[in-house]
Amino acid sequence: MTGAAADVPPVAARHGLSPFVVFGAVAAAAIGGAIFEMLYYVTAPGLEGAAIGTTGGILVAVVVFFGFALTAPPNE
Amino acid sequence: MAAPGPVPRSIDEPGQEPIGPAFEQAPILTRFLDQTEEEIRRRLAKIRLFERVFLLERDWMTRITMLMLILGVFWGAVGGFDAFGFQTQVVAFADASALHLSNQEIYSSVTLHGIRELFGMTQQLEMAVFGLLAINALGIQPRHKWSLYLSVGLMNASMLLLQGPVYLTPFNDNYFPAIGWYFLSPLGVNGQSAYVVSPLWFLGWLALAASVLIWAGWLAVHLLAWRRSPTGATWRRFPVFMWFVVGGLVLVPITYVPLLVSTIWDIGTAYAGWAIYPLANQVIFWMFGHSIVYVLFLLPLVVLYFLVPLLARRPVYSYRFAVVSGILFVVLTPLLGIHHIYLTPLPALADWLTMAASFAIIVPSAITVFSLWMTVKGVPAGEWEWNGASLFALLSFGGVIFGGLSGPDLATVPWDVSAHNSLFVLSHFHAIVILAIVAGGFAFLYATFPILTGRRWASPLLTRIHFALTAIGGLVIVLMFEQLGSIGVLRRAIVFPLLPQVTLDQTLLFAGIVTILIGQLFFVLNGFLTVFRGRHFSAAGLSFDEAVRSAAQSTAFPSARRPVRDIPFVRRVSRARRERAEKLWIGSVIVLLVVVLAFDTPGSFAVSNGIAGATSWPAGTEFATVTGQQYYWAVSEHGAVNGSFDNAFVAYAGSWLNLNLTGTGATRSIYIPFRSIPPVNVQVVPGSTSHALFQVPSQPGVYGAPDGEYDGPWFGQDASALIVLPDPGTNASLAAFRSDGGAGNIYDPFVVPAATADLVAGDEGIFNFSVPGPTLSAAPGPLAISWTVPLASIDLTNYLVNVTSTDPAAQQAYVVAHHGVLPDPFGLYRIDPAQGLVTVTQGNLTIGSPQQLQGNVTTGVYLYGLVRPVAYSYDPSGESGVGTGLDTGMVMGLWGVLWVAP
Repeated sequence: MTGAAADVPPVAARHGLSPFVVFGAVAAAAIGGAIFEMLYYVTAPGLEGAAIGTTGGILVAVVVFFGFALTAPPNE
Repeated sequence: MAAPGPVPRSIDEPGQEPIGPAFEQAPILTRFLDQTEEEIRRRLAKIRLFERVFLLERDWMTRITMLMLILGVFWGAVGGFDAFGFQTQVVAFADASALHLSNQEIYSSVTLHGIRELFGMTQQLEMAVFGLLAINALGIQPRHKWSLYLSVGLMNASMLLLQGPVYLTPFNDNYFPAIGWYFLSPLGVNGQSAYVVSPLWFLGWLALAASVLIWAGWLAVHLLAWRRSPTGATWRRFPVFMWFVVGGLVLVPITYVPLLVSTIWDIGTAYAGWAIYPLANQVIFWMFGHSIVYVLFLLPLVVLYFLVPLLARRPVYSYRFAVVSGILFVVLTPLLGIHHIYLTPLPALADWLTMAASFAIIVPSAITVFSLWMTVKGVPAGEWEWNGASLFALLSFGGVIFGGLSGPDLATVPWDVSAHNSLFVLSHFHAIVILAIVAGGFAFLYATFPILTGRRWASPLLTRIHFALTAIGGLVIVLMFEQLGSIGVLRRAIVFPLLPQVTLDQTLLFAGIVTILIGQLFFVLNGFLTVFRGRHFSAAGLSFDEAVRSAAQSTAFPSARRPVRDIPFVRRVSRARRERAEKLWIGSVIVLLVVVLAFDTPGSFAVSNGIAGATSWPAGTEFATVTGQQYYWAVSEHGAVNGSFDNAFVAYAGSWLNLNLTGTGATRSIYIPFRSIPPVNVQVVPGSTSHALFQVPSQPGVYGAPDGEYDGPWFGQDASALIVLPDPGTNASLAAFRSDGGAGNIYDPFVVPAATADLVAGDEGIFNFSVPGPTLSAAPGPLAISWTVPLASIDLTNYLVNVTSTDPAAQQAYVVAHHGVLPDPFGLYRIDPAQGLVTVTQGNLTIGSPQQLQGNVTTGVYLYGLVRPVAYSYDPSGESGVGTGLDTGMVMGLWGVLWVAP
């Protein structure tokens, strides 16, 4: 059987989350996990001095990232 | 009259395939190989299994690609089993059970796991993917078949060479390389190290480098031919993902030539007496060691830039930014190697510049993540299909972010002090490898396997199960490595603190490994069902993009399927508007990088300059000259404490301790993972001098200080103690030390009362699964410490008896023949700050029956047990040698500290 037209519903479903939302959720989860990893280092008394700079930079970057991504024009 | 000879054949017979003149034919060797291959193919193709699995009826490019994929999956499976084997021993130790593998077998599992997964699987898979993509996306006619075959042959031969020699009768695999996938000169080098690998190891690396360089040349020749072709080939029509393929071809020689240099240097040192400069060799090696990870990281980048726009049916958000990203990856990657050796005595400026470059490479990653996410912005749910390819692409996207964000942590020099050589490094590494690279590879396979085989994937259900188990298993592995590493557990550790959290995390890590391995069985099953039972797939009438969507669609459940046809795309948002968003984002990233770099600069120079050597010392500093060997530190102290110790550093509470560190045989590390006060982590490279100046804890006690850098099979026993004495004239019990948590150092030995302690040695030649052994506490007066080294603990995994026979019972037989007495002195020794160790009582090490160590002790600190290392040699029946490998060393494990206070 060639192609895939016979396996596709006559009208493509329009329900469900858009890929932008799903990819964004995964990005948020990944970022959240990475920040969770950093928290140990910034809360341990002997380690926080070394970790605070990079952790702070990443936190600011995350806010900026979502800010630009959500306000940027779509890929149209 | 002679019989008429055969009629001379004209060059081109009418009706025959034109032969042409001889000088236009392929070389005779090529024709011979072609004919031989065709004969083999024809015979094997009669067997359905071979015909279907190896696609023997397809063109040669397809056949070779399929061969590479199959071999890649094979090495991935074997390498996965290596990890399984290693972790069974870790869990056994965590469970306080006996180990059934030798140290050499355990560490060769780690070594071969890395080798097979990184190169046999991932590098080979990348070669297959890039070749397949370039040929198909650009419409190139593949040529030079035997160059590609040679590359594949060398790649897989290198896996066998790197595995090393094995004796079949009697079976002995203890000569497999127990050296680590990245090997730091001079470890393993004959004449330099107590642990020597066979020359097959070095030959394997040479074969691997040759393989990949030949492949890069093969693909480069094709791309150049495409560029010169009259078909209108122009860089403006170059797909985004192809820029990353080209980037890979540029990076391959930059990566593999340093490997050739460092390996040939090791070979010359080992067998031709060349001079050795380990630190320089390591700098060269890490040009390979770091760059290879980015070479492999190009695989998910290529796949994501290929698949995401294709599945979205829209071009990438910004073509120009994507190309800039690829260029930056290529330019910056070779500059980062030193961030693997921050804690060696390299110049501080070199460390700082590498940190700056390591921050800079965040920029192309930031571009990529933003571009890919924005590419799907505006795509309605009805146009995006969730199938195996898109699910693994999603996982890869997440992995790039998750793994990528732990990179800056390690790249920050001051932060690296607490993380270097811990399992946190493996969390970062496996997030990139499993969640980003491997997931990207699977995304590509699910999207293109039907095109390759002519058969649609057999089962969307098996695809979903494979995805779920890979994602879950991978996440568990990454998170458990992070949990263990954060608290300070060392990588490659078979001996580690038996704390409840550590035991739980190691067990969960094992569960993650099992989960991901089971997941791959579903993939393999789906693959077999596809080639044997899959419905026929044809791309006839479809564009390349449509064919890929159609192929991937066979992994989607029917209700989730979407039309595969291309949708005409009309650009409505101008490039200026889109790129404005990118510019603002990247501009922000650059500003943040500069700010963070400035913030971390003082700490970076402080760490590096400290390792180079202090220029002033606080009053009362204790000075120690420390020489590292495989597998102990020889310590000579002067100051408030004077004396010589092995594997012990002694200082008064709150004082400053200055260590001048040198070593031979292998790189080692002073590693004291404090958590409530700054940790200590300094690399000691043979041929260089490192320094450490730090203030010891203000709380008297016994702090664990394991060697942080893998230095051979007895790495686990290679652990010392920082003994912090109470101020002169004062007494201090260990109660405050215990309630204080030992400065948060998980390697501090357990504290138990001497009166009720029962010291029992295990397979590893350490007491109660701890090295140093448990810290015993006692009151002044008569003392009796019970200890036992069971005869059953003496075997191949124990360093106490040298291995001179292949008979597994030979070591115990030796002990019995000597009435259980070994010549090594076992005793009780007081630490006298004026002169070092003073013997209280001493006898010979006795095996088999319970013993007592007796003496009259006064307030103070003592060492008990074997306080000097034992000479070890592994040489069953004379099998060891330069050709197979050597394993010798000075090992110290059956010892600990006795703390006597009122």
